[in-house]
Amino acid sequence: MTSLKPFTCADLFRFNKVNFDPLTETYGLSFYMTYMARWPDYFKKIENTKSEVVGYIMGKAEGIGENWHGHVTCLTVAEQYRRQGLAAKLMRNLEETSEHKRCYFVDLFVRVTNCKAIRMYESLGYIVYRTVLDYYSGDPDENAFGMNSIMALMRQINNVERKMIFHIFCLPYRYAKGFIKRRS
Amino acid sequence: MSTDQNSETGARLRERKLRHLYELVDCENNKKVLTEVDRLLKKQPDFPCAKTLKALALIRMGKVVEAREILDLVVSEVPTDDGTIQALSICFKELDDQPTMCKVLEAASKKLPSEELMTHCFMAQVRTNEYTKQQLTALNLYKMYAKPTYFGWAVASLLIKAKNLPPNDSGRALSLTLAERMLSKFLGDLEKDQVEESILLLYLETLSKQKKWEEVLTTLKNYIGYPNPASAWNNDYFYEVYTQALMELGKKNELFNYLQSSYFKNTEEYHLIHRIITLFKDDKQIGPEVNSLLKELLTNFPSHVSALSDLHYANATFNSGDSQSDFISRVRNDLEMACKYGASKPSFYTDIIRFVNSDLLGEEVKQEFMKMIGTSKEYNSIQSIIRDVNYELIERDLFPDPNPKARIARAERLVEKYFRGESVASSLRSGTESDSNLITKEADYHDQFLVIAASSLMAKYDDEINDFQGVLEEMRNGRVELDGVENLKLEDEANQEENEDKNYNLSDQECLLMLSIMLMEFGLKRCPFNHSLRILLIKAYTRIGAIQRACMVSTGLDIKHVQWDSLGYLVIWKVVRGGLYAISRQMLTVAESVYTNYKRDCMEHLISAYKFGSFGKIQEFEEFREQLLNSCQFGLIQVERMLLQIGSTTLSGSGSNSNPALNVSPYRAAKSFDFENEKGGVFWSQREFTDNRDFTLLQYLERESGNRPLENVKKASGETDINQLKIRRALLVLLTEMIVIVEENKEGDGKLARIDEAIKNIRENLDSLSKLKGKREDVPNFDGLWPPPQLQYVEMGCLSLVLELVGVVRQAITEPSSGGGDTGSCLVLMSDKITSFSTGVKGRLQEKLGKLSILMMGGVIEDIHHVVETLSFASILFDVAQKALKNLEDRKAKALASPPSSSSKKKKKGAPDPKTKATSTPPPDLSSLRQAHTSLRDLIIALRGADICSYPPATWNVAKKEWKGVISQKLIESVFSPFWDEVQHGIVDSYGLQLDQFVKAIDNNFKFISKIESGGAGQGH
Repeated sequence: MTSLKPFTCADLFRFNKVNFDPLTETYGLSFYMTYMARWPDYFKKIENTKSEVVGYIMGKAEGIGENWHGHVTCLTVAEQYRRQGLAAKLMRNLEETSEHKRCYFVDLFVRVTNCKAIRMYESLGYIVYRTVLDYYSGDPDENAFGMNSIMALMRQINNVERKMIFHIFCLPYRYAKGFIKRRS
Repeated sequence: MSTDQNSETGARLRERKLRHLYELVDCENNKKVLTEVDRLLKKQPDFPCAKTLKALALIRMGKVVEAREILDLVVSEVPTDDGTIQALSICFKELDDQPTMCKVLEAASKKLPSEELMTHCFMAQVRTNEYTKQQLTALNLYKMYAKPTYFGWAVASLLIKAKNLPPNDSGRALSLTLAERMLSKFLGDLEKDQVEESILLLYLETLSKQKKWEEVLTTLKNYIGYPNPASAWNNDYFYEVYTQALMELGKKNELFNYLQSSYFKNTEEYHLIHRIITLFKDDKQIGPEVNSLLKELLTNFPSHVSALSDLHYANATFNSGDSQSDFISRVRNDLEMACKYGASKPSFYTDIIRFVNSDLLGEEVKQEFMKMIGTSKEYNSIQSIIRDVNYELIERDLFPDPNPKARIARAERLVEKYFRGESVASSLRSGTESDSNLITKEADYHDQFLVIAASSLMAKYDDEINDFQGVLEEMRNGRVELDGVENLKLEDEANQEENEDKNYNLSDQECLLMLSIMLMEFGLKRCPFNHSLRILLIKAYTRIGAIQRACMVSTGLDIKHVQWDSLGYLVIWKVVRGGLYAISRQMLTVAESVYTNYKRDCMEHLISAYKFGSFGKIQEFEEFREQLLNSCQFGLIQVERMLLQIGSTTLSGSGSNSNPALNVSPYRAAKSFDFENEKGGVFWSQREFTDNRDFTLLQYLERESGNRPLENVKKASGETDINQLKIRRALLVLLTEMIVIVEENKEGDGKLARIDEAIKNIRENLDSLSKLKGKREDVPNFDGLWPPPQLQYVEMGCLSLVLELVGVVRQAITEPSSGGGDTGSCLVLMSDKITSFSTGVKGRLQEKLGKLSILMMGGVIEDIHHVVETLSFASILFDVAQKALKNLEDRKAKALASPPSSSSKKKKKGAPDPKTKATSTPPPDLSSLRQAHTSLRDLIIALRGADICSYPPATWNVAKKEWKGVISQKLIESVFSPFWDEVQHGIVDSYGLQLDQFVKAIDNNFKFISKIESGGAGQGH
């Protein structure tokens, strides 16, 4: 049982449980403050019944003309609160905000090895449209998939059509890149 | 036309010349900037931008006075060109003088009212918190350029001005009324679809601050269509202000209907049902409707969430009319539903524990609840493991058992379950997923069993009473009878090793702590991402004083940025007091930079909020600034870093330090601390401190109980942190001011007053420390956080010694005739004090060393740290005293001499005549100071050679006997045998390294003392 609320500055003292996740980066204060100052509607958190922060999403609206879109900068949920659809809830909220801001699409980057997240984004109607080499710095650097979802279009079509789009555009790309191995 | 052409050509020429200067400034080639500017100014004396760049170069060269002169000249000419304004803004930023920059921009925008200059002026006024001026500038901008953003700036400035005035101030009401009028006129002139969200938010905020709730409802209805919002901006603030308005106006039915319909749209939103229950549970009219809402939920939407909502209601309404049996049957049904739908979720424990672990539920219902969750013998999926982890966590909290046997039995059962979960983990690991990190994390959910086991074993150390002794021996005997076959092999091996030297016997308590350390090291090897294990392990290592080991474990937590404020407490203070000087220095510097960087940038964030129309964030940013910069942890970090720097200056005097950054004399170090500037300097006692430490991480690791020990620990340790901060800050003032007074040979600038204030401050805080002793029992012993370090500090007599030494030196400076008037009596007095301090410390430490155990090591190491630090301060004070005496003699010599001749005037002030020096100053006798160091050094060397520190206190071959019969064979084979020696070596190495650092610090002090004796310590650099 959780609540979706705006992320506030004071939450920076209480988001440690979420940020201990090895794939969640803790950024410098300026980074968070910039997002809060510029895109406050895009920065939301999930609280549990004890008012602890158990997940959050940070994003922005950017681009010019037809490229005006929402972007997911960071989405994370504490280990104890996974498998409850909280990430999807946060994503829906960000999409609604983007729709209100008349964005044409929402995009994001995800580690090519983060299969669970990729699957979740796909279930929300996102498709892989490109690979960015060495996007994530580390030892070694890691590639990222660029994924996006066309806002209004994806909401209007039904599941069958969504699967068709996925099969036409997404799967061939992923086979070609060797992301999915054919099973014997 | 020709004039235009000329001016254009001139501008281009200037730009070209400036470009070269900018490049030099960027490269920080300051000397070259000066020569280039001078050359340029010869040709073009009226070139304000070049002059400003010269000032910037001078600032960067540390020549602030000269730079100020140039800047004053430029400012008086009221420059308006972009280049000069930018350069001036950099100069004043580096001088930390925003008010002057603000005045420059005000004058410039008055002279040439352009949009750019006026917006810059507005931003400058935001930086200096000049709300009225902000508002006027924004209004002027709006009048001239008619942009809604500028209107928003003006109103936001008015609101923030009102917020910062006291509630009864008439200016507050006036500002709010003015803001309301401005906004209503502005909104009235626009079509509804032209209204911007940020302006509407400002209007609602203004109305709510004036408590005009009817107007709030009308605005929400007119512009957004509440209660059924049609507008795209279904902002959280609109929801908040709407519900508040209904509540304030007593429109309960409307509010209930609104909340109810919102809740049915999203039953996962806890805050909605929480609000419904809190607001209406006792309401005679709506209360029954809440009850039926929950019943409807349970019938139509049976789920974990519905059950938890009803439990919440049942808990909140108990004793308000329901009979006991009705209540229990309702709760029983809720618990059943919650288990059915939620027990396999990892959050089940956190969600339900506060409803279950209350006095309202009897033992019988609790037992029944445990059966509802159920425990599995075999695991076939990750869900079954999660369910069992929930079972164990709840069982730990509902049925705590102080009996050590039961705790060990629980730990063993949990470890057994951990091994059982391995099969599911390995099948998950060998799945089709390619990501090792992610899958490992989920596959290793069963390592939560190890967390519960370790926390159960460690919980004993929260208690003061030792009811363990002898229990393990009893278990060993019992186990041998029961499991004779299993332990036969061990028995044989133990017999074979009977003749081996047995150096150190672990006590029963230590056995359990070692058991938990082994389990955690084992768990972390398997799953390095488990932060719960890591935090518990840090606690365990700090408990036994193996700080270097704790430090190594803490690197895996990757604490950084703002986390230093909320999580730094887990490790930083133990590292500082554990003898790890180099790591402490690094940690404190990094942590301090988080605050100083934020302090530098915080106003820019505020400006961004204005710039992007996020007016709702302005107040939040201001509050956050107060919260972070008033943090007690920040204060402590700043003060400890400076004290460490002062203490380390003995290294510079010793001449043995190769690191130039540390090669700073006490005087240079003391001069670098800024006490006089309250704005930029170290905090003084009046400040209201905040406590931002995050204790929620520890909650999962500790048993949830009504006593809330963690909250007690946070409150008590927060209070003592403030006390510690005040004492340490006062100590820092004493030392630095004393050094500066003597080195500069003048008492002015209120330095003596500050010393007296610091002494008074320490005495006051020492009085409050005596009360702490009584409080000690109220708070359980919590590793690393309690008891407070001041107690030890005071008990060792360190603080008293420094106070006494400062007192003697102070007297020597101010009242030479009564204090240290005749040469050397001051030093003799100080020597006596050192001798008595050293005797006390020696007795106390020797007593401790006589009954040394692993559990005592943490305390002993901190004791040594306090003494080493105090001896460093004492050495510096001896140096100060000696210099003070020299100054005194010089003054005496001057007074005795005939009226000053022209040749003596030429001599440098305070510089003694070398001949006088040679004849009148005998080398000081610092034998007592040397003796104190030698005595402590010998004690540390003795400790270094003790069984506990010199080699593993119990190698695995020896330890096997200790563990015989206490733990199962499986645990021995899988956990103990492979990890024992590594862990033991780690602990011993940690002790060794820490003690070596103490010895090194003492050796440096020795060299420093030698320099004092030869009259050259603390010179130069």
